[in-house]
Amino acid sequence: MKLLSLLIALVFAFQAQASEQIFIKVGDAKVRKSNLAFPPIQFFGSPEKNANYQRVGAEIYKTIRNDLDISYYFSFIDPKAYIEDPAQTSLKPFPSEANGFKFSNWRSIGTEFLIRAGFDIKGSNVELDVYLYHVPKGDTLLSRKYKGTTTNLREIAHTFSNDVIYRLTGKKGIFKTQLVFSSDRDSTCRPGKSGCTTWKEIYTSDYDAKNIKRVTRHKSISISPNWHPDGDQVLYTSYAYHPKMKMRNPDLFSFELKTRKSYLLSWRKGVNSGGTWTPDGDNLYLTISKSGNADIYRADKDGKNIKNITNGPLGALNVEPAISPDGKHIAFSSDRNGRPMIYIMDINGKNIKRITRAGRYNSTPSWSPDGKSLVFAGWDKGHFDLFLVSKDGVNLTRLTSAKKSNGKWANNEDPSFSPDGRHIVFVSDRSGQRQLYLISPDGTNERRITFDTANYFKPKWSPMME
Amino acid sequence: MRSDSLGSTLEPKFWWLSIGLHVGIFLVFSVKATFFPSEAINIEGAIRVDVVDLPDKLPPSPVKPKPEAKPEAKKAAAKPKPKPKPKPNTVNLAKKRNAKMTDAIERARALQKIEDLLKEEESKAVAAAPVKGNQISKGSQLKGVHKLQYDDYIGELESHIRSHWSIPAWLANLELRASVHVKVTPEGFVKYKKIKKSSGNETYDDAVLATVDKASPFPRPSDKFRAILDSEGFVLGFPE
Repeated sequence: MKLLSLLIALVFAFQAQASEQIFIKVGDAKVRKSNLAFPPIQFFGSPEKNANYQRVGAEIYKTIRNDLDISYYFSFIDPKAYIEDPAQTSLKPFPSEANGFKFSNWRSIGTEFLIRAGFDIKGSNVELDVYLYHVPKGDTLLSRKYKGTTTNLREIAHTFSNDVIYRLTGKKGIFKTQLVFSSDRDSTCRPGKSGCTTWKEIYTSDYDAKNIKRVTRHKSISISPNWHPDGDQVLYTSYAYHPKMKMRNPDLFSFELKTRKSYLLSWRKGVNSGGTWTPDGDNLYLTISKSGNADIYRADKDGKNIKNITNGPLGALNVEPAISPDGKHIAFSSDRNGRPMIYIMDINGKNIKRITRAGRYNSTPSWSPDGKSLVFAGWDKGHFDLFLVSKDGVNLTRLTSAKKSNGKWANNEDPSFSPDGRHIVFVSDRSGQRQLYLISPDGTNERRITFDTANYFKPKWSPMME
Repeated sequence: MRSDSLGSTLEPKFWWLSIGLHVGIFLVFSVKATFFPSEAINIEGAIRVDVVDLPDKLPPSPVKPKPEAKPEAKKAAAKPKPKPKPKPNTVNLAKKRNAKMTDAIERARALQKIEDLLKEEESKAVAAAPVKGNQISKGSQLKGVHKLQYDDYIGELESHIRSHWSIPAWLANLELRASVHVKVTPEGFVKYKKIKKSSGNETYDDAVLATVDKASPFPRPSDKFRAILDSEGFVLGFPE
């Protein structure tokens, strides 16, 4: 028996020794962009019969290229480096097609991914054949046919771009998401023009600020829009005219994008603004100032049965509620300790914690989709900049710092996270006008997405859309 | 004398008054503190924030320092970026082919060298193997100074491999993990590599193996550690 015990002990000791292997943790990798070759899209039809084929091809190509560029996953290979002429080879590789392209020709110029695409037009219908190849291994990663019309070319392109991202990362792409914002783009007022009326209306657009569509026609000041978690409605505040009182009041409205119907949700005297739905869409939170002080209230989704969530103290402002993605917390700005700072509280208003202490004026918090951090606009040295902070108030990082052409610091404000957490849309006046920009949460990849003389305010990024 | 007489007449009266007053004050504050607690002092409100500046924007920190950027690594990093060439394609092609051929020859030579070295090491190992009995084995356990030197070497190895460790951006933030079992020759060349725990993503696993290849030869181990790295090898965790 003793011998058996000794033997077992020896076996275990031996196993323990055998498993004791040197283990080295290499740490996080450097990340690099993958080289992507994306030759022009081929037209399968007859150019004589389709006068607009070039416009269609260019629109699809431009949209896909812009999407993949904004993903920051790819470096586009200069077409001058191509060894074979893509126009002379088919979309499929040799030898599966006699006229097919050769992987070796793309491999030798360092191509990691190759997109080959072609389209045809029949009446107003468009068919797009697209292939995504992994060149080093000669694998076909995607082979899809997309059908649409000449009026929704961008949607066809965005769908393919989303498929590329999903194929590579297993995560949904953002290319079919939308923005909602307030703008004076249809106002008659422009710099240097007098005797005009300034309106701000609510608009939606594709995520890249293309395809802008007007939502409201109040001919008033409409501000602070926000998305329903299903992406089919928006909330906004508009200075609506009340004939009985013969005055305008900032009331809260919702707007159904499909039916294009508008609903008045809260018209209590004073401010009814900063509306946001809970992630389940059952309630909404907004700022109401009916009692004289601006406080955060919870209401039913139809705006009824309001309940105080904050109450002062001592007449302090509590505004701009932003509900965390898990629906358990609210970030908001408040001047309860003197200067407006960012706070987080439980969804019922309890456990208020101060998140920011630095700076003079911190406002407009927006949650990252993972609920781990917040981006907000902070006033510092005479201008606003974007800052990122973790939800426990540490790791405060400045994301923006830009100057106008006159050398003065530009304002960067009104941030909102994309639903994949890889981008932030914001407003900057660095060009002179308040235009829309994108930036990565690490402060890199700043990119202007509107190019006009209008002003844009409070953009909000939609949830994921199919 | 006057003071004495005054003290003798006033003392008891004032004593009792004084004691009574003190007891009274004590009772008043005790009752107040017990039954009517005052409001908690708001420490938050007393904090002055206007002297605290928001941080400046910093340039994105370099991802990892490259302590030993070897020419080989530089070549590998620069290779995939095709440069726009103003000249016609035909000229480019000729140049490319020449460059490609030169690269291929150099690579073949380098590979041959590695292979020769590997063979040499293998033959040494084979020659040394038959010694058995009546001899104290060199062993593979390290103690004292050797252990410290060994730790230094592992640190060196870690930073060397990390300088070659890169993945495509689309694989970042997917929280993939893989480990690879590696054995190296006494010269530091990789003689064996095998995925021990796959990440489940083929491209990530390929990037891990490619990193091991790019990092070879590793820093040359000293005599004491050769046996361990050669026979048992070590496991590299990407990223941990």
